Amino acid sequence: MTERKLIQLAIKGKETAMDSLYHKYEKLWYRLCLRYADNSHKAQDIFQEGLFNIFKDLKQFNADKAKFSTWSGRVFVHAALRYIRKNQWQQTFEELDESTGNHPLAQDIIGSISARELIQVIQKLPTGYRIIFNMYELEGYTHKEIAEQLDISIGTSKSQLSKAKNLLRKKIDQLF
Amino acid sequence: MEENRHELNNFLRKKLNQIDDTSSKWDQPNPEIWQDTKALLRKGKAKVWYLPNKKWAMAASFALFALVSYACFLQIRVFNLQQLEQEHFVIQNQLKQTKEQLDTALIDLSQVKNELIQIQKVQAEKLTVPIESDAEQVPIPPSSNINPPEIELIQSTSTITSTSKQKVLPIDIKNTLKQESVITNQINHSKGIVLPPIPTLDWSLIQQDYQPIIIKDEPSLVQNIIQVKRFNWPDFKIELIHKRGEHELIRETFINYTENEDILDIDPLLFKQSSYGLLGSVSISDRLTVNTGINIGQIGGDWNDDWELLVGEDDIYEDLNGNELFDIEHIHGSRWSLLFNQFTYQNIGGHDTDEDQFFLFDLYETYQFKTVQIPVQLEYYYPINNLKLSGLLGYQWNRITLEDYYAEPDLLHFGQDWNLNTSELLIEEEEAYLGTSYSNIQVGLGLHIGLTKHWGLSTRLLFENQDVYDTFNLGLDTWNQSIQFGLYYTL
Repeated sequence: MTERKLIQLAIKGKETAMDSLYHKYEKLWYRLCLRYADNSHKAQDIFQEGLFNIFKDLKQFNADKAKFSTWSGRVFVHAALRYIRKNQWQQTFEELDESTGNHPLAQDIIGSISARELIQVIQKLPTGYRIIFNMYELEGYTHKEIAEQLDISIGTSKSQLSKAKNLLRKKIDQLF
Repeated sequence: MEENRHELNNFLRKKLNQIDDTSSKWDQPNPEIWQDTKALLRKGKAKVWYLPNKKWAMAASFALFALVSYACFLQIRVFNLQQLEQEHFVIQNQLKQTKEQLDTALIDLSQVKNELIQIQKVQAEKLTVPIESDAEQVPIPPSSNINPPEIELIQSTSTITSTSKQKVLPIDIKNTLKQESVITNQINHSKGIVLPPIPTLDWSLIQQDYQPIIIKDEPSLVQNIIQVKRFNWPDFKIELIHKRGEHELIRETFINYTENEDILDIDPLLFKQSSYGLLGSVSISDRLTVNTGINIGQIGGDWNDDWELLVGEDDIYEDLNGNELFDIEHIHGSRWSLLFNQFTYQNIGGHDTDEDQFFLFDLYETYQFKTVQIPVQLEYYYPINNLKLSGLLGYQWNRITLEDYYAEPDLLHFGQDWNLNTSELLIEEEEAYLGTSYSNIQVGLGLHIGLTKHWGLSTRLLFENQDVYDTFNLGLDTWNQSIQFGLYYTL
């Protein structure tokens, strides 16, 4: 059965179709949640909210405009942002006194660690760094989009991304 | 650089999506989450409710709350109007009864007078018969035996309770008639004239003392346009307030009909109110603000549910043959108003109104008051997400002055052949000098919802305790409530 057909049946409330969709994407979605949260408990909260929103708003998905994985990923990102905004927004984008040295991320460094280790390192980033790093590097948002979503300036977004990368590099280095 | 970014992104995504270390299930969500989510989807509601649905649902809840509050306000207002109508209906009925009683009393009085006149004529004829006449001498009956049977009927109406306001008219017709019968026996033999032969009712004074008034806030719709200006510290807020609603003015009336009869009358007068004001707020902490300002407005309206009873005084002088020599009629009373105004009513004329000793008139009155209110309030905010609850405690000083007053009497006719025109009833010495102050304590609850970054809605339920200037110790302290709705903008 095609993904489009599964989605149509899920919209009509067919539980088997919903189960199929869920099992197809659960790990992708959950890993996304793990990247935005700093621990698995919060990730599960975000996961539940995102999951509910996806199936509640499934009618809004337009297969002609985006892939389901992309659309559902955005839904989870929004759920994560709402969760973080609700719980720890105040200190999220405070400037942290991290080293401003340039530590570019390179494929050779990242390639030497597992996905789990990479996510664990991302989780250890300060919330603001983590969000901007995830949104820019992994979800493909532009700095302008990030600034609008997070109600910050473009400069802050760029600055935080740069610092996030430096910190991530340092933390990856510490693994070895 | 952009190319490098895409390469890195793709690499990261692949890395993060690669299936590794599957035995630990670190990337496996708890299966119960999916079961719970399906259950929630079946119920059609979420465990936790996030924006933007939450925002609009809050706005909808607020609108619903506002509508329900307004409906309650209208309901209370309708209820009050119904109460007033009922009271008006009762007053009208009692007025009608009073009129009937007065008519009956006047007719009976007229009959008694006619009989007395006949008796006097007979007596006069007998007394003027020459001693040397051959006619049989008629014995003069003692005055105590003169009372005719009709007097008993008159006594039954001697005290007339007229309205729900308990205006009691102590008309002691019995004593007056006794006095009259004594007078009729006082004969001036030298001139052959009886003075005065007609009952004289000396109930000419009606005095009303208006005691200090109290403005009582009825549940009223208050519309606020709130503009917020933010500085670093302290936060400063200016509110432009427009109030519309109804105010109930309680008038304590002291009526003195006779030296022994003091009557207290309390009239609720319902007037429309409109005011504008400025309210400034300064935050003294994250959650506490001090509000103060000034509110200037007008209260005004018509009031015609008031009536007065005046009693005429009629002196008729006749010769011994019963022929009318002259007739002087005085219809006069005075109303003394301590706070509103003072004026007297007078009518002096030659009307032959010996059958019409009483009359009522409606008094159509128009009031215009000016109000000044100065509140000092402490408001505590408790934030819950986008929502803020607030509690308010305040003190308000109020000043009210009478700006304008107009009164026009409208006569109600009584008795037979009553022919007095309204224009003949004069109102004199009109002077307004009302001015009174009072204060009240305010307790309130508020709800503030931010809809967007700049705009928001707010509402307050305000309870106000009236410090009543109760000169008669009637315990009129009351709590009154009002509802405020506001739209605010944050810079």
